[in-house]
Amino acid sequence: MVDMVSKSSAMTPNGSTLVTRLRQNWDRAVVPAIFLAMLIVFYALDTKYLSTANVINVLNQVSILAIVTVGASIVIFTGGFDLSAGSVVAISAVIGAIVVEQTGNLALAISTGVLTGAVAGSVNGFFVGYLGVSPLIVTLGSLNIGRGLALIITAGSAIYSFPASYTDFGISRTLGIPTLAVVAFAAFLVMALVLRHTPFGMYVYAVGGNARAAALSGINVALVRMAAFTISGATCGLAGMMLAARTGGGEPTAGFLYELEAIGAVILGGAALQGGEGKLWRSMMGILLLAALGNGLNIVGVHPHWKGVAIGAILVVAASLDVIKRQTR
Amino acid sequence: MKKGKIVFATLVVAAAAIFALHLSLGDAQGQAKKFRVGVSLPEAQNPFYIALGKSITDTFRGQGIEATLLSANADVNQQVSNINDLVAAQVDAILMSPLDTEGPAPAVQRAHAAGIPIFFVARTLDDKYSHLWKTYVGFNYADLGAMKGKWVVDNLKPGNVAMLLGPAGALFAVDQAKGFRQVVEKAGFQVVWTQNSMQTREMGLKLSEDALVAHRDLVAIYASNDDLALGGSQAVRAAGLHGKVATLGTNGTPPALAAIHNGDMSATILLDPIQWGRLSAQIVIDYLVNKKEPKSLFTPLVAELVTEKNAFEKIPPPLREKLGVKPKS
Repeated sequence: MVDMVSKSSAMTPNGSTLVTRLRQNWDRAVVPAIFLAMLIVFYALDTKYLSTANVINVLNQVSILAIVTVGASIVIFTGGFDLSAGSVVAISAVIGAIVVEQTGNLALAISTGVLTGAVAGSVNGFFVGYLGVSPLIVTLGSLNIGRGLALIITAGSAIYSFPASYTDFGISRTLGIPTLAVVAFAAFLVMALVLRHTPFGMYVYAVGGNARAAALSGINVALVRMAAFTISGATCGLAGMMLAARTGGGEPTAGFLYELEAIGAVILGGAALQGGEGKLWRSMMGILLLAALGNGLNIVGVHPHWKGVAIGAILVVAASLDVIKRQTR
Repeated sequence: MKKGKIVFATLVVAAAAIFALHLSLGDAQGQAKKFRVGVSLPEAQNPFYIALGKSITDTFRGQGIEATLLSANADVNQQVSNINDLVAAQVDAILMSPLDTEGPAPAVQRAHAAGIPIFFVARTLDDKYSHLWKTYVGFNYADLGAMKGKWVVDNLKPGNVAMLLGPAGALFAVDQAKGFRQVVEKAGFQVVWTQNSMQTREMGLKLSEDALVAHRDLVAIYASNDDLALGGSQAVRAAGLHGKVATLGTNGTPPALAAIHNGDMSATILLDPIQWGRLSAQIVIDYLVNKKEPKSLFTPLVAELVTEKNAFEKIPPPLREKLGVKPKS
């Protein structure tokens, strides 16, 4: 949020300020520059890329990953890592689908789905925060456990049980914007405000920046870590329920590799992987870039095998520039 | 001190493992006449392979043959280790579905060299390895694709077609697509958009959204399986093109049959994994118990095209009410 303000003030007619600011903060311009270049290239290749239909399409597609990225960002800001995101999305969607199948109660299904994610996240958070197990190991474990449980309780097949009203909601628009994107934006806004204006937000960065110092200054480090993972789990649960609104059911195979897209987005957003640094809106820009890139490659019909290459290259370039900048600072 | 403990623990575990191995070997020698068959399937999460695996193991166990079912989780490496494990366990035969046409070949070669007879079901290796297997129970996938192509040619006016190809490199996906493409292109249709992906409804939806932005004039979306096709039909509906873009899948899963009956999907190919499982396991049993060599390297199965006309009768009666389908008056 702060960056946004400083950037807009950099647009003042005062040329020298703009130049010095750019010189000091050129790294922040890298991702927006890549983004802009990408928009121009894809538009040049196919004007349909920036058509209203496609912009709405991308907003719809990115909304689910954006919510996952909100949670992933907070965990990374505390110096953690959540590899279980995709699996938690799947198991939440599956459990929501079972609840709606058994009870026909949509509100109950949605809240159970989100709660499932929160519970999964808090288990991760307990092991990381209170037992001090490496988040990499804990969430690698829960990635496999979550996916396995999702397959076990569904016997491997998707459960398509949501009523048509819910899938209609999934494709509906609010003020011309896809409703799912509005939900994602609301989730982002709430978490951005929490990070900025509450003590918890401060603790998140403090724990990520220097856990020992945070503990010495009286912050309950374990609790903050557990809370961050719980938020991540809850966002995955919400993402699972939004995915259900798009597909009409719970697929045990859903959300495959979401965690990597979300973590990639946070890296593109310039957050430090060791924690303590990062801005939520920058992570959002990262995920939007990844989604718009994948979509653009699809629209212009690039051979599928090149997709991974392009996405990987952009990730490495963005992360390397970030490192270079830190070293020259 | 700590190091010593670790070494000790490792020794204990190793000793226990060797002891357990001796026990199991002793057991196998005690009942020399009981055959053991190893089953290696590519995916545990795909409903098709779940049904296939269950049907195979049920058939074996029903006739007093021990069956060990291993799944590779869509990872060639894992299938290679699974086969190596089965060779090490000295099973009497291996019934497997190779993940792709090349990757598992070295492991199959090792099994062959160890004198273990190998049978394929549903998928096979490249023809250059045909000396390695006794028989392959399955379809000519190009014929399946051609059946779908013929439906398109018979029912639609020539136009643009998009293809959701499924996993890159998998024989059933590659051959099926080839067969389809040949038939429709000969009749004046144009394949304007293709993409590889995992076979989920989520991916079918996302890719079809992109395809429909790039080519709103599509007349048909071909999909390598039903979940992709169902996602495609959802994208078609969301784009307001219901009834204008045909969607075609493969497998004949109940939700797809219901969608065809309701006019949301156009056609599918009914594959019956239970029948395949029974047939392939019986061939292995005949070979082991009755010393009967399979007649040829390829044991063909029959496939059936399902359209609106016959979809209802193909839905298992207990599922009809659950899926909310009623016979057409």
